[in-house]
Amino acid sequence: MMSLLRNLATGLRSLSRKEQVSKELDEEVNGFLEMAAEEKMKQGMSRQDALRSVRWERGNLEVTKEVVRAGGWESWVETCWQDLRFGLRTLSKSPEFTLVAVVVLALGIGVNVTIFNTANAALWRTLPVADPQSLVRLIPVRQDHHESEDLPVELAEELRRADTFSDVTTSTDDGLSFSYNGGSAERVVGEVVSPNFFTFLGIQPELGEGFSAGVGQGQWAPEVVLSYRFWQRRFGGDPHVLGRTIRLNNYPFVIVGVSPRNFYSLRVGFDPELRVPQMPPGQSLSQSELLSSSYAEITARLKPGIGIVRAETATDAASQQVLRDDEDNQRRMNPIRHVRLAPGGRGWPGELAPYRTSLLVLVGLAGVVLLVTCFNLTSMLLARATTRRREFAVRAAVGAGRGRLVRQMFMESVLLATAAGAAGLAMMSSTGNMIRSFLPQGHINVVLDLNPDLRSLWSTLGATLLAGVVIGLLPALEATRNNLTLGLKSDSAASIGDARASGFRKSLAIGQVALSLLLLTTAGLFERSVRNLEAEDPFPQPDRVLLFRMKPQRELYDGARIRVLAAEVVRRISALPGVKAAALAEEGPYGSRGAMRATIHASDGRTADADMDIVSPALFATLGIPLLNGRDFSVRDNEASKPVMIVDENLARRLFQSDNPIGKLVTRSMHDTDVAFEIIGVVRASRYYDLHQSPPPMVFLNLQQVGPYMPTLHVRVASANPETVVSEVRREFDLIDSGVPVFDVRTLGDRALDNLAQQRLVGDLAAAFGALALGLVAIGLYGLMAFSVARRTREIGIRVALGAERRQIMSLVAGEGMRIVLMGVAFGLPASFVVAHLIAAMLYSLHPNDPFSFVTVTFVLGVVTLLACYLPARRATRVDPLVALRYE
Amino acid sequence: MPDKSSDLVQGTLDMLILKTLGLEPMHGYGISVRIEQMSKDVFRLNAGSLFLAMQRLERAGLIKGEWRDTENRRRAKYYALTEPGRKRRNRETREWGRQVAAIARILEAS
Repeated sequence: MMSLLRNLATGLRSLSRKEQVSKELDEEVNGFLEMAAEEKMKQGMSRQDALRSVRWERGNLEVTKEVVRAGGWESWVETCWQDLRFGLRTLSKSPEFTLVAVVVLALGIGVNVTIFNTANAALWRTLPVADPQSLVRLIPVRQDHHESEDLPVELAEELRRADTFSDVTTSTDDGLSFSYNGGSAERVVGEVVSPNFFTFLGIQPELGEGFSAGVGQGQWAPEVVLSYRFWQRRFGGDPHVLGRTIRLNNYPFVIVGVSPRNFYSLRVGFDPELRVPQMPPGQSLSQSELLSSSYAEITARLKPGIGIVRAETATDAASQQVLRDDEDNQRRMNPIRHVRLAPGGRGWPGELAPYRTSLLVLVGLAGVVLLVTCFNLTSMLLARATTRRREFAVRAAVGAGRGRLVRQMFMESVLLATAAGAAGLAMMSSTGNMIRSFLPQGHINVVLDLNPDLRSLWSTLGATLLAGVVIGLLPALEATRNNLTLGLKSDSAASIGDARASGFRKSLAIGQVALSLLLLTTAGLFERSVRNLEAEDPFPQPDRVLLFRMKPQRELYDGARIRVLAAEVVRRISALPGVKAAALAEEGPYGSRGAMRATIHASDGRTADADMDIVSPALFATLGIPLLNGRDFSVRDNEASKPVMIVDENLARRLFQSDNPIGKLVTRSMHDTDVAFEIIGVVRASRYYDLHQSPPPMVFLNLQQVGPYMPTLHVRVASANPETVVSEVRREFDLIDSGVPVFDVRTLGDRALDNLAQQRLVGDLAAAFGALALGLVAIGLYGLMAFSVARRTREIGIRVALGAERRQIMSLVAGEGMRIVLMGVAFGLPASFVVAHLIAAMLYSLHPNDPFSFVTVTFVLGVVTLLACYLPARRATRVDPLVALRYE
Repeated sequence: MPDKSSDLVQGTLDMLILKTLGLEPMHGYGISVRIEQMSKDVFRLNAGSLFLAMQRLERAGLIKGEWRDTENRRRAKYYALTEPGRKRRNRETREWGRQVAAIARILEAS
């Protein structure tokens, strides 16, 4: 180790004090020469003879100096530096080539690092907290072995006393009504956490110190820590925000901190606006049930030296008593029976966990794009190497070894790749919003921290170096192949090498055609699948249906008041100009909370599992769902009147076959009692909650009879540009009651897009990749054919002179190109079929062998590549034999 | 160009230099003369090999160079053995002795 450091130090010294070191070496070697010569002169030789004799015996001393100088590692660094500058000079001499090469490669690398960074952020990123590896998640396992997330908070208290974990924290969240300075209520998502949350995670808040010490010791106080992004958005990043009072569900809280910028939450994709401390057991606040939640996610930190298996045994044992004593748990149909431990370094999987497959497919497709760009660039560099053969031959003749030449070529490709890598990184940071636009939004926003972490940066460096080596290797070896002297002779003699290089380039072109066919068919299948799903959208003109979600906090509004409020909202907003119809639905089509479920019993014992929604009168008219039979809900159906239900045709058929269901009584189990409903109407079945599957049986209950919780107002507007109505509706909400947060404002069309977010993400990005690959193939083929025509100018001239017609010349050149395309298709089609079957599970209403996709894509590829071959071929037909033959 | 040092077994030049420097600090020419004298002119060192070896040994911290005046009032770089160099020399001498003895036994046996 010491000697390595000394070697390093000496080397650095020779690099930094080159003159001095070189002079010392000169003096030492010259001294050697002089001393040896003096010895000879003592024996009577003349000085000249003595010097010659020493050289004869000891070797040329100039060579000695070179040998010694080259002996240290620093000389290697120095020649590399020379090669680097040489590479920069060479590249700057052909700026067009450099620009094209960097752009092509930057696209390849940029696509890869962008996709990798996204997948990393959604799936693999480690939490930005202290020692994330020691975190574990406590996962409740239910009686039927299903796993959920929330456990009784007393368990955390219990585990803090045990000696398995160094600390334990709890977190759970809910929507809150936020107001500041007397403004109208806004919706925020608040997380209630145990007071030790920030110290548990070991994160330093952006402002403040987290919750106060008193809160940590069980003296609860209304303190709130804002998230960095909420602080930026709502308070403009005001540094004097500490100590101000905000209202949550109308209760005053004091801002004591802002959480750090890089910390979102323990759940991937989740960034609550603020955090408040959990209340100690037994305390509660009537304004917020959240503060005294009895269930929460439990995350713990293992004590050093305690393995996860041992900790799990201890935790499960400790949890048994708590679970037995928990009445809520015991009353459940499917109670929690065990607790399992899982590593927590990456946090809890969130909304983005289902994207795993899609993201992995995209990572794979991006890899194919990188391969295509590398092939493309290798081909360009090969062409360039061929034209530079003479230069290499000259340099070899004046003493450059092959190794040095290869290294210089390599330097060039590494330089290209480095520039491209930097551009790729810029692409990654500028495409964040594009990626985010695919994330589905709903009552809780899905966010993704796309700032690159170390893993993303390493992957960029890796992709860059890999690309540099891959594109440099073949051209470097090819350009410096043994017969360098041939390069000095006439071009025709060197054409043996050219022929081999162009053989390589043809193989690379075939590879590009095959790979882009693969990308294009994949993209085609995904896009067709998305189109098929979009065609299932049952609602006419979904972009003219505006959605406003509202949440009257239960702590502030009792059931009766919420009903009155709901009726008032519908009545007044329906009357606004420009509004055709308005209605409330608890969830609505493609709602982000997912389908509500119910089991419906007919009087003859038949049952059906159905999706359910709770709606106000006129929802069907607003959405455009046809009423097939009976009547809609009316304002006369209320709490006092008998419970009524509207079913869809699927449910009617399931329970009553062809009988008329109107007036029939069915029952639904609610809590411990069965409630009877009279069926008053039948509507057409539609893909209400999920566009991906044919509709299950569905029932609708009356909002005035069940009572809304967080309903969405659906407003069908007359004009094609609904923005003007949005502000009017918002104003109306404020007039009715400014204490109810209104949020998640968007159109039904947006919600439908979100329902297909996964398919659109893969489909659209795959389509972009395919288009990119197709463009590269066209450029590559064009370059190859143009090069080939230029090389064969004399041959074509002779053919024309001997009487070949234009058509024959055309087919000669274009035929060469089309052979490449056909070979590419021959390799690409089978590979595409294999990939199509691999992704079959991600396709909807589409067979993986879908002939339409395959034929269209192959046709498009054929047309584009034909065009790329046609242009050089046309130039070939214009070759003037007189000029061509004089050319040599 | 006569280069008898190529007859040296790989790595033995380092050991010979260390051995030579064990007596007193010496400059490059002195080392080469001493090795030639002691080997009775069997080894004649090429300057390139010698200087390369000295650079290697100096970087490894086994010898340390210092500029001094010679008896002829010429400046020369004198190399002296360091403590690690001394250890290395002793180890290699022992090892070499073992190997030579082993080879001799093999040669005698056949």
